[in-house]
Amino acid sequence: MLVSSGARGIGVAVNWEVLYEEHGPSIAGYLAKLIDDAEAASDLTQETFARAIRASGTIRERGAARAWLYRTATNLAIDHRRRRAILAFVPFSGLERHERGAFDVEADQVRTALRSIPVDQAVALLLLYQSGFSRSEVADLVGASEETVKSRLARGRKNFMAAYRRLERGLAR
Amino acid sequence: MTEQNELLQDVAEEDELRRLLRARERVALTGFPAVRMRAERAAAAMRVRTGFAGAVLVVVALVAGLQLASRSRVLVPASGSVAPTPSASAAVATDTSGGTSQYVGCGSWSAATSPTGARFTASYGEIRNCLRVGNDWLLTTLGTTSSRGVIAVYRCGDAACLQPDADHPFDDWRITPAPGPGGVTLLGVDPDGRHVRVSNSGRQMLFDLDSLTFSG
Repeated sequence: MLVSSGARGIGVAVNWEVLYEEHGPSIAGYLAKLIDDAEAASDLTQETFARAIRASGTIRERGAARAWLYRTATNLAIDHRRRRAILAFVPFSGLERHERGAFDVEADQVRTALRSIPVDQAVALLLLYQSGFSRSEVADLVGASEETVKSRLARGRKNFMAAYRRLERGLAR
Repeated sequence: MTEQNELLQDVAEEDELRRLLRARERVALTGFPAVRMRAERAAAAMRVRTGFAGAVLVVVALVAGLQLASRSRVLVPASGSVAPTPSASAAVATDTSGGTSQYVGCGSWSAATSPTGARFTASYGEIRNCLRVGNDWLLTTLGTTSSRGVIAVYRCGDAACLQPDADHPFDDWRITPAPGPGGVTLLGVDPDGRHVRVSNSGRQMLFDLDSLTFSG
Protein backbone atom coordinates (compact mmCIF):
# COMPACT_ATOMS: atom_id res chain seq x y z
CA MET A 1 0.00 0.00 0.00
CA LEU A 2 1.69 3.16 -1.16
CA VAL A 3 -1.05 5.67 -0.62
CA SER A 4 -1.61 7.13 2.77
CA SER A 5 -2.99 10.27 4.30
CA GLY A 6 -1.26 12.65 6.61
CA ALA A 7 1.08 14.53 4.30
CA ARG A 8 0.60 18.23 3.84
CA GLY A 9 -0.81 19.47 0.56
CA ILE A 10 -3.25 18.06 -1.90
CA GLY A 11 -3.11 14.60 -3.44
CA VAL A 12 -1.70 11.29 -2.39
CA ALA A 13 1.41 10.77 -0.32
CA VAL A 14 4.04 8.10 -0.10
CA ASN A 15 3.78 5.49 2.65
CA TRP A 16 7.19 5.88 4.25
CA GLU A 17 6.83 2.85 6.49
CA VAL A 18 6.52 0.58 3.48
CA LEU A 19 9.42 2.31 1.76
CA TYR A 20 11.52 2.07 4.93
CA GLU A 21 11.03 -1.68 5.01
CA GLU A 22 11.66 -1.94 1.29
CA HIS A 23 14.62 0.41 0.84
CA GLY A 24 15.98 1.00 4.36
CA PRO A 25 18.34 -2.00 4.34
CA SER A 26 19.75 -1.27 0.87
CA ILE A 27 20.24 2.43 1.67
CA ALA A 28 21.94 1.44 4.93
CA GLY A 29 24.21 -0.92 2.97
CA TYR A 30 24.97 1.82 0.46
CA LEU A 31 25.85 4.25 3.26
CA ALA A 32 27.92 1.68 5.15
CA LYS A 33 30.07 1.12 2.07
CA LEU A 34 30.38 4.82 1.39
CA ILE A 35 31.31 5.95 4.90
CA ASP A 36 32.80 2.72 6.27
CA ASP A 37 30.92 2.90 9.56
CA ALA A 38 27.92 0.65 10.21
CA GLU A 39 26.64 2.59 13.22
CA ALA A 40 26.81 5.93 11.45
CA ALA A 41 25.19 4.31 8.38
CA SER A 42 22.26 3.21 10.55
CA ASP A 43 21.94 6.71 11.99
CA LEU A 44 22.14 8.38 8.58
CA THR A 45 19.53 5.99 7.19
CA GLN A 46 17.21 7.00 9.99
CA GLU A 47 17.97 10.68 9.32
CA THR A 48 17.34 10.20 5.57
CA PHE A 49 13.87 8.79 6.22
CA ALA A 50 13.11 11.33 8.95
CA ARG A 51 13.85 14.11 6.46
CA ALA A 52 11.76 12.34 3.85
CA ILE A 53 8.78 12.26 6.22
CA ARG A 54 9.18 15.96 6.89
CA ALA A 55 9.41 16.68 3.17
CA SER A 56 6.62 14.30 2.20
CA GLY A 57 4.51 17.17 0.86
CA THR A 58 6.95 17.51 -2.01
CA ILE A 59 7.42 13.81 -2.77
CA ARG A 60 4.43 12.11 -4.30
CA GLU A 61 5.59 9.12 -6.31
CA ARG A 62 7.29 5.88 -5.48
CA GLY A 63 9.98 6.32 -8.16
CA ALA A 64 10.68 9.88 -7.14
CA ALA A 65 10.82 8.84 -3.49
CA ARG A 66 13.53 6.25 -4.09
CA ALA A 67 15.69 8.71 -6.02
CA TRP A 68 15.03 11.38 -3.35
CA LEU A 69 16.10 8.98 -0.60
CA TYR A 70 19.35 8.07 -2.35
CA ARG A 71 20.08 11.71 -3.17
CA THR A 72 19.57 12.75 0.45
CA ALA A 73 21.53 9.76 1.74
CA THR A 74 24.38 10.65 -0.62
CA ASN A 75 24.46 14.26 0.57
CA LEU A 76 24.39 13.15 4.21
CA ALA A 77 27.23 10.69 3.55
CA ILE A 78 29.35 13.33 1.83
CA ASP A 79 28.79 15.68 4.78
CA HIS A 80 29.69 12.88 7.18
CA ARG A 81 32.92 12.15 5.30
CA ARG A 82 33.82 15.82 5.33
CA ARG A 83 33.13 16.15 9.05
CA ARG A 84 35.14 13.03 9.74
CA ALA A 85 38.01 14.43 7.69
CA ILE A 86 37.95 17.54 9.88
CA LEU A 87 38.06 15.37 13.01
CA ALA A 88 40.72 13.05 11.61
CA PHE A 89 43.34 14.37 14.02
CA VAL A 90 41.59 12.62 16.95
CA PRO A 91 43.79 9.62 17.75
CA PHE A 92 42.07 6.23 17.50
CA SER A 93 43.39 3.09 19.09
CA GLY A 94 42.73 1.02 15.97
CA LEU A 95 40.65 -1.47 17.94
CA GLU A 96 37.28 0.13 17.29
CA ARG A 97 36.89 -1.70 13.98
CA HIS A 98 37.04 -5.09 15.68
CA GLU A 99 34.39 -4.36 18.29
CA ARG A 100 31.58 -4.83 15.81
CA GLY A 101 31.49 -8.60 15.91
CA ALA A 102 32.29 -10.93 13.03
CA PHE A 103 34.93 -9.39 10.82
CA ASP A 104 34.54 -9.81 7.09
CA VAL A 105 37.92 -9.24 5.42
CA GLU A 106 36.58 -8.85 1.89
CA ALA A 107 33.85 -6.41 2.95
CA ASP A 108 36.44 -4.45 4.93
CA GLN A 109 38.72 -4.27 1.89
CA VAL A 110 35.83 -3.11 -0.31
CA ARG A 111 34.98 -0.32 2.14
CA THR A 112 38.62 0.68 2.51
CA ALA A 113 39.11 0.76 -1.26
CA LEU A 114 35.97 2.85 -1.68
CA ARG A 115 37.19 5.26 0.99
CA SER A 116 40.50 5.67 -0.81
CA ILE A 117 38.99 6.91 -4.07
CA PRO A 118 37.32 10.30 -4.66
CA VAL A 119 33.83 10.37 -3.19
CA ASP A 120 32.12 11.30 -6.47
CA GLN A 121 33.60 8.17 -8.07
CA ALA A 122 32.58 5.96 -5.12
CA VAL A 123 29.05 7.36 -5.24
CA ALA A 124 28.74 6.69 -8.98
CA LEU A 125 30.06 3.12 -8.65
CA LEU A 126 27.75 2.27 -5.76
CA LEU A 127 24.65 3.82 -7.30
CA LEU A 128 25.22 1.88 -10.53
CA TYR A 129 26.50 -1.47 -9.29
CA GLN A 130 25.09 -1.74 -5.77
CA SER A 131 21.81 0.15 -5.99
CA GLY A 132 20.93 -0.69 -9.58
CA PHE A 133 20.32 2.81 -10.96
CA SER A 134 20.96 3.31 -14.67
CA ARG A 135 23.67 5.71 -15.85
CA SER A 136 21.13 8.38 -16.73
CA GLU A 137 19.42 7.95 -13.35
CA VAL A 138 22.79 8.30 -11.60
CA ALA A 139 23.45 11.46 -13.62
CA ASP A 140 20.08 12.88 -12.61
CA LEU A 141 20.58 11.85 -9.00
CA VAL A 142 24.01 13.46 -8.57
CA GLY A 143 23.18 16.50 -10.68
CA ALA A 144 25.84 15.85 -13.32
CA SER A 145 25.77 15.13 -17.05
CA GLU A 146 25.75 11.54 -18.27
CA GLU A 147 29.19 12.09 -19.82
CA THR A 148 30.55 13.19 -16.44
CA VAL A 149 29.07 10.12 -14.78
CA LYS A 150 30.53 7.89 -17.48
CA SER A 151 33.93 9.39 -16.85
CA ARG A 152 33.56 9.05 -13.05
CA LEU A 153 32.58 5.41 -13.49
CA ALA A 154 35.56 4.66 -15.73
CA ARG A 155 38.03 6.38 -13.42
CA GLY A 156 36.30 5.00 -10.34
CA ARG A 157 36.42 1.46 -11.62
CA LYS A 158 40.13 1.74 -12.43
CA ASN A 159 40.97 3.40 -9.11
CA PHE A 160 38.80 1.08 -7.05
CA MET A 161 40.16 -2.12 -8.60
CA ALA A 162 43.74 -0.89 -8.23
CA ALA A 163 43.14 -0.03 -4.56
CA TYR A 164 41.35 -3.31 -3.96
CA ARG A 165 44.16 -5.33 -5.57
CA ARG A 166 46.72 -3.54 -3.38
CA LEU A 167 44.66 -4.37 -0.29
CA GLU A 168 44.26 -7.98 -1.39
CA ARG A 169 48.00 -8.26 -1.63
CA GLY A 170 48.39 -6.60 1.73
CA LEU A 171 50.25 -3.69 0.18
CA ALA A 172 48.18 -0.90 1.64
CA ARG A 173 45.58 -0.10 4.24
CA MET B 1 43.20 -12.57 -30.18
CA THR B 2 44.79 -10.08 -27.76
CA GLU B 3 41.86 -7.77 -28.25
CA GLN B 4 39.47 -10.61 -27.45
CA ASN B 5 41.45 -11.44 -24.30
CA GLU B 6 41.31 -7.83 -23.20
CA LEU B 7 37.56 -7.80 -23.73
CA LEU B 8 37.12 -10.99 -21.70
CA GLN B 9 39.32 -9.57 -18.95
CA ASP B 10 37.24 -6.41 -18.97
CA VAL B 11 34.00 -8.36 -18.61
CA ALA B 12 35.47 -10.51 -15.82
CA GLU B 13 36.63 -7.37 -13.96
CA GLU B 14 33.20 -5.80 -14.26
CA ASP B 15 31.59 -8.97 -12.91
CA GLU B 16 33.98 -8.98 -9.97
CA LEU B 17 33.31 -5.28 -9.32
CA ARG B 18 29.56 -5.91 -9.33
CA ARG B 19 29.94 -8.86 -6.95
CA LEU B 20 32.15 -6.91 -4.55
CA LEU B 21 29.93 -3.85 -4.45
CA ARG B 22 26.73 -5.86 -4.09
CA ALA B 23 27.97 -7.85 -1.09
CA ARG B 24 25.57 -7.40 1.80
CA GLU B 25 26.48 -5.15 4.72
CA ARG B 26 25.38 -5.95 8.23
CA VAL B 27 23.73 -2.77 9.48
CA ALA B 28 21.32 -2.87 12.41
CA LEU B 29 18.35 -0.65 11.62
CA THR B 30 15.87 0.73 14.11
CA GLY B 31 12.15 0.15 13.67
CA PHE B 32 10.08 2.67 11.74
CA PRO B 33 8.44 4.23 14.87
CA ALA B 34 11.86 5.54 15.90
CA VAL B 35 12.26 7.19 12.50
CA ARG B 36 8.83 8.79 12.76
CA MET B 37 9.65 10.04 16.27
CA ARG B 38 12.89 11.54 15.01
CA ALA B 39 11.02 13.37 12.24
CA GLU B 40 8.47 14.65 14.75
CA ARG B 41 11.18 15.79 17.18
CA ALA B 42 12.97 17.68 14.40
CA ALA B 43 9.71 19.31 13.31
CA ALA B 44 8.91 20.28 16.90
CA ALA B 45 12.39 21.72 17.43
CA MET B 46 11.98 23.75 14.26
CA ARG B 47 8.62 25.08 15.46
CA VAL B 48 10.23 26.12 18.77
CA ARG B 49 13.11 27.84 16.97
CA THR B 50 10.72 29.57 14.57
CA GLY B 51 8.51 30.64 17.47
CA PHE B 52 11.50 31.96 19.42
CA ALA B 53 12.83 33.81 16.39
CA GLY B 54 9.36 35.26 15.86
CA ALA B 55 9.18 36.47 19.45
CA VAL B 56 12.63 38.05 19.19
CA LEU B 57 11.60 39.77 15.97
CA VAL B 58 8.48 41.18 17.58
CA VAL B 59 10.56 42.65 20.43
CA VAL B 60 13.16 44.02 18.01
CA ALA B 61 10.42 45.50 15.84
CA LEU B 62 8.77 47.16 18.85
CA VAL B 63 12.05 48.66 20.04
CA ALA B 64 12.92 49.80 16.53
CA GLY B 65 9.44 51.25 16.11
CA LEU B 66 9.78 53.26 19.31
CA GLN B 67 13.20 54.55 18.34
CA LEU B 68 12.29 55.50 14.82
CA ALA B 69 8.94 57.00 15.80
CA SER B 70 7.83 58.97 12.77
CA ARG B 71 10.49 57.45 10.49
CA SER B 72 8.80 54.05 10.45
CA ARG B 73 8.97 53.22 6.74
CA VAL B 74 12.29 51.36 6.64
CA LEU B 75 11.38 48.15 4.83
CA VAL B 76 14.23 46.38 3.04
CA PRO B 77 12.93 44.53 -0.02
CA ALA B 78 14.54 41.12 -0.45
CA SER B 79 13.45 41.03 -4.06
CA GLY B 80 14.83 44.42 -5.00
CA SER B 81 17.24 44.72 -7.89
CA VAL B 82 20.16 45.99 -5.83
CA ALA B 83 23.09 43.60 -5.67
CA PRO B 84 23.95 42.38 -2.18
CA THR B 85 26.66 44.12 -0.26
CA PRO B 86 28.31 42.64 2.84
CA SER B 87 26.12 44.80 5.04
CA ALA B 88 22.83 44.04 3.36
CA SER B 89 23.63 40.84 1.52
CA ALA B 90 20.31 39.17 2.06
CA ALA B 91 20.07 39.63 5.77
CA VAL B 92 16.36 39.69 5.08
CA ALA B 93 14.34 37.01 3.35
CA THR B 94 10.77 37.89 2.61
CA ASP B 95 8.19 35.26 3.48
CA THR B 96 5.48 35.30 0.83
CA SER B 97 2.91 34.22 3.38
CA GLY B 98 3.10 37.72 4.79
CA GLY B 99 5.76 37.70 7.49
CA THR B 100 9.40 38.69 7.29
CA SER B 101 12.08 36.48 8.80
CA GLN B 102 15.56 37.54 9.76
CA TYR B 103 18.44 35.26 8.80
CA VAL B 104 22.19 35.59 9.09
CA GLY B 105 23.56 37.50 6.10
CA CYS B 106 26.81 36.71 4.33
CA GLY B 107 30.10 38.37 5.12
CA SER B 108 32.58 40.18 2.94
CA TRP B 109 33.42 37.01 1.03
CA SER B 110 30.18 37.39 -0.94
CA ALA B 111 31.08 40.83 -2.28
CA ALA B 112 31.90 40.92 -6.00
CA THR B 113 35.37 42.22 -5.14
CA SER B 114 36.31 39.20 -2.96
CA PRO B 115 37.83 36.07 -4.57
CA THR B 116 34.76 33.89 -3.89
CA GLY B 117 32.26 36.56 -4.87
CA ALA B 118 34.21 37.35 -8.03
CA ARG B 119 34.27 33.69 -9.09
CA PHE B 120 30.50 33.43 -8.63
CA THR B 121 29.86 36.63 -10.51
CA ALA B 122 32.08 35.59 -13.41
CA SER B 123 30.68 32.07 -13.66
CA TYR B 124 27.03 32.42 -12.71
CA GLY B 125 26.23 36.11 -12.69
CA GLU B 126 25.68 38.66 -10.00
CA ILE B 127 24.82 37.34 -6.52
CA ARG B 128 21.15 38.03 -5.90
CA ASN B 129 20.68 36.70 -2.32
CA CYS B 130 23.08 35.29 0.22
CA LEU B 131 22.26 34.08 3.70
CA ARG B 132 22.68 31.26 6.17
CA VAL B 133 19.88 28.72 6.69
CA GLY B 134 20.62 26.41 9.60
CA ASN B 135 24.06 24.96 9.00
CA ASP B 136 24.11 25.81 5.31
CA TRP B 137 25.12 28.96 3.48
CA LEU B 138 22.89 29.62 0.53
CA LEU B 139 23.24 32.01 -2.36
CA THR B 140 21.38 32.64 -5.60
CA THR B 141 22.63 34.34 -8.74
CA LEU B 142 21.13 36.22 -11.67
CA GLY B 143 22.90 34.28 -14.44
CA THR B 144 25.00 35.60 -17.28
CA THR B 145 24.30 36.14 -20.96
CA SER B 146 25.39 32.57 -21.63
CA SER B 147 24.28 30.74 -18.48
CA ARG B 148 21.25 30.66 -16.23
CA GLY B 149 21.27 31.57 -12.56
CA VAL B 150 22.06 29.05 -9.87
CA ILE B 151 21.39 28.16 -6.27
CA ALA B 152 24.61 27.38 -4.44
CA VAL B 153 24.77 25.63 -1.08
CA TYR B 154 27.76 25.46 1.23
CA ARG B 155 27.47 22.90 4.02
CA CYS B 156 29.21 23.73 7.26
CA GLY B 157 31.01 21.04 9.20
CA ASP B 158 32.10 23.15 12.14
CA ALA B 159 31.17 26.22 14.16
CA ALA B 160 33.81 28.46 12.56
CA CYS B 161 32.19 27.96 9.16
CA LEU B 162 28.92 29.37 10.50
CA GLN B 163 30.53 32.75 11.14
CA PRO B 164 29.62 35.27 8.45
CA ASP B 165 33.23 36.36 8.01
CA ALA B 166 34.70 32.87 7.65
CA ASP B 167 36.00 32.11 4.17
CA HIS B 168 33.83 29.81 2.04
CA PRO B 169 36.00 28.71 -0.89
CA PHE B 170 34.30 28.62 -4.26
CA ASP B 171 35.25 24.99 -4.96
CA ASP B 172 33.34 23.66 -1.93
CA TRP B 173 29.97 25.06 -2.98
CA ARG B 174 27.37 22.74 -4.45
CA ILE B 175 25.91 24.41 -7.48
CA THR B 176 22.44 23.68 -8.83
CA PRO B 177 21.48 25.46 -12.06
CA ALA B 178 18.01 27.01 -12.25
CA PRO B 179 15.45 24.92 -14.12
CA GLY B 180 14.56 27.82 -16.38
CA PRO B 181 16.46 30.64 -18.05
CA GLY B 182 17.28 33.79 -16.08
CA GLY B 183 18.18 34.38 -12.49
CA VAL B 184 17.01 32.87 -9.21
CA THR B 185 15.46 35.04 -6.53
CA LEU B 186 14.91 33.88 -3.00
CA LEU B 187 11.37 34.45 -1.76
CA GLY B 188 11.41 32.79 1.65
CA VAL B 189 12.42 29.89 3.84
CA ASP B 190 9.84 27.24 4.75
CA PRO B 191 9.18 26.65 8.46
CA ASP B 192 10.92 23.25 8.23
CA GLY B 193 14.16 25.09 7.48
CA ARG B 194 15.06 22.63 4.74
CA HIS B 195 13.12 24.13 1.82
CA VAL B 196 13.38 27.58 0.32
CA ARG B 197 10.90 29.23 -1.98
CA VAL B 198 12.43 30.77 -5.06
CA SER B 199 11.37 32.44 -8.27
CA ASN B 200 12.86 31.62 -11.65
CA SER B 201 11.55 32.38 -15.14
CA GLY B 202 8.39 33.84 -13.67
CA ARG B 203 7.58 30.68 -11.71
CA GLN B 204 7.64 30.08 -7.99
CA MET B 205 9.03 26.77 -6.80
CA LEU B 206 10.54 24.99 -3.84
CA PHE B 207 14.18 24.09 -3.51
CA ASP B 208 15.09 21.20 -1.23
CA LEU B 209 18.31 21.94 0.68
CA ASP B 210 18.92 18.25 1.39
CA SER B 211 18.49 16.77 -2.06
CA LEU B 212 19.41 20.01 -3.86
CA THR B 213 16.46 19.71 -6.23
CA PHE B 214 13.63 21.96 -7.38
CA SER B 215 9.99 20.98 -7.22
CA GLY B 216 6.60 22.50 -7.78
